[in-house]
Amino acid sequence: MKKLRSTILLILTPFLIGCSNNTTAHLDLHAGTYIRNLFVDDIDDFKICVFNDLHISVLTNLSEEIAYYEKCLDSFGGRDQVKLIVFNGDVFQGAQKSQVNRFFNWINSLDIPFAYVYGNHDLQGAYHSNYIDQKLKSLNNSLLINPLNDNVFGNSNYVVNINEGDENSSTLKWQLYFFDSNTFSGVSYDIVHEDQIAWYEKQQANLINPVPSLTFMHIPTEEFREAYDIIGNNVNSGYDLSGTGSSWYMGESISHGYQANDLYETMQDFGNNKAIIVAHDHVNVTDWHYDKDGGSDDNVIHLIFGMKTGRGIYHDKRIMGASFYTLNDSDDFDINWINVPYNADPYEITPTDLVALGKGAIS
Amino acid sequence: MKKLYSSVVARNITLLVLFFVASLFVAYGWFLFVPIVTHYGRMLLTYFPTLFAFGVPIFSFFMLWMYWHSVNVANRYRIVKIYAITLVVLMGICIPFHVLAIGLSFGWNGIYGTITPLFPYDLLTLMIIFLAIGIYLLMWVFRNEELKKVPITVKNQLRRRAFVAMAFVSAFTAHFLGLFFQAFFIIDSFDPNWYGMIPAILLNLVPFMSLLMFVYYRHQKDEKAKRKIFGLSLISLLSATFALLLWELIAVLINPYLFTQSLSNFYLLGYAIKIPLGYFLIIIMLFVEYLVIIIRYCKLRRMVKHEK
Repeated sequence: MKKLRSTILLILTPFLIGCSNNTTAHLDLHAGTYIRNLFVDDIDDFKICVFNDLHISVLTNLSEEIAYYEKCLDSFGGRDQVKLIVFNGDVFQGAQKSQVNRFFNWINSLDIPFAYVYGNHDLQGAYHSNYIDQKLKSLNNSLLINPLNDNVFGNSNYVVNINEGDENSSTLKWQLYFFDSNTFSGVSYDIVHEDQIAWYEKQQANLINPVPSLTFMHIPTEEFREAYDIIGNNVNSGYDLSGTGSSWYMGESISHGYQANDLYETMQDFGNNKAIIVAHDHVNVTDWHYDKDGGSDDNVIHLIFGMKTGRGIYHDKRIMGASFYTLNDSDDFDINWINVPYNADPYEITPTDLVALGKGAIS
Repeated sequence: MKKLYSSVVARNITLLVLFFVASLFVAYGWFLFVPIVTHYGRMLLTYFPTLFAFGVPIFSFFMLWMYWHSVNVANRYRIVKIYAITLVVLMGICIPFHVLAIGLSFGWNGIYGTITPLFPYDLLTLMIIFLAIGIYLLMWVFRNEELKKVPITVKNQLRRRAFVAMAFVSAFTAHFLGLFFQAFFIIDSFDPNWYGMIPAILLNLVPFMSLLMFVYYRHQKDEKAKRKIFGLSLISLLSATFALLLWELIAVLINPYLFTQSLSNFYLLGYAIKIPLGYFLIIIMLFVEYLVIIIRYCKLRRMVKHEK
């Protein structure tokens, strides 16, 4: 009996220690902990290049793909114009450490700050779950902030402040929010959790003067489907020129999270966020001008599916490349979708082009 | 050499080593297979020779296992012949395809380092080694053609059913054993979910343990004392399995996101369809294995009692 008792205790010990470790209170960190600052001379010059869904795997020929990513980067006025690169999730799926290292070493060597957002596939590779995080934290151009053991769910919830001026004298002009939209919940896609929304509220409350912002995350929210129903009338392409100004091409149905959350409503309440920019659905390109509460025009939030980058898993060659967002001093921003073929010159995709891809019309 | 392999211990050690190597190849081969599936097979033409080459060690294990469990010389001759022809034909197709596919996909010069640091040359060398083994054995087959005429004096110890079952079980077991070893390369001691990762990683070892026990039992069923040991090890393994499953269940109850946060790299193909299929597969496989072992054990006990 004594032997049996000690055996059971021996088996349970690591488990009990593990549980006690896990139930340690998570840290409630100050809002400023999650903020990076970038400084520019003129905010009108600030151009962001967004890469979506690269899906680099163990079988990817990285030499060829890196040449393609550079072509994307140069496709809209040259890389010198790009002030920030955003990887909006699913950079990796089924990769191994050597590919992760090579990719990040390349991007870091460009000497352009870059922001990384986790997608639902990034942790699925031959490396441990903290590997990407550790690698990113070791690179001088990476902007990722991921405090360990904090009370915000996910790995990439942080803010980049775009300031006009220099470190000694500057004015905050724009904010960029990066959310981890997480991976799976049961057999559905996950959503941005309540504590992440509380974190957003805390960040907004911390602002002395409200400034416009863009939000980047991987998995779309349920509002994308609502916008498709309400503005798009479920027609797979269109340009609502005389109405909301929305344009879209839907090559597939929207794979949003398993349930609705309050992120969009919270953003509308604060009124500063101009756009939610997502990836995840590789053959959807949209710019819905959606106002859920139906209030004033300035409460519109752009719901944007950016262009998928590269040929990793499924794609549509007609809408494959990079998206560029140029911030303006007038609290507005411009979108440019650039189609970048592997063996031809890049060209811009206009709303009219999007209409032509599907069955819709310009209205 | 011949004398050495007449010893059961030497044979078992060889099989164990081969199974260990095969398990690493199977697990890594499966890891390569996932991007092929998620890319809708677009890369299959480039990488199918690599996948076949990764399958050769487990095939070799199975053929060697069959060879040593066949007493009849004619049967053994046939096994060597099948193995040699398969290797020669498979590698005869794979080598030119590998060169052609890699050349057309990546270009004709340089080390590409996608799968391994020296890819594609290390894989090409491996394929050439397999081809050389195949040719050597085929030559032996041709030199000893008279062996196939040896009359069957001893009835084959194993039935065809057992061979087929062994082929499936060893392939799956090798995959999970490979995952177990892979864990040592990819786990991070600072992972906050480590308490829930331990049972999942250990569970990958259980199919191998149960396979070992099954093989041991099959050889020792006539001895009463060893039958008792078998009974005890069966109970221990069953208890360990249930303890690991219970441990995992509690860990998942504590953190419902445990699998997606820290274990998704073990169930890559499953996560292409959003669920850790591999985890459920191992549970089903163990359940079936234990059921078969328990039924056989009960049958044997009944037989022994009846004889008394």
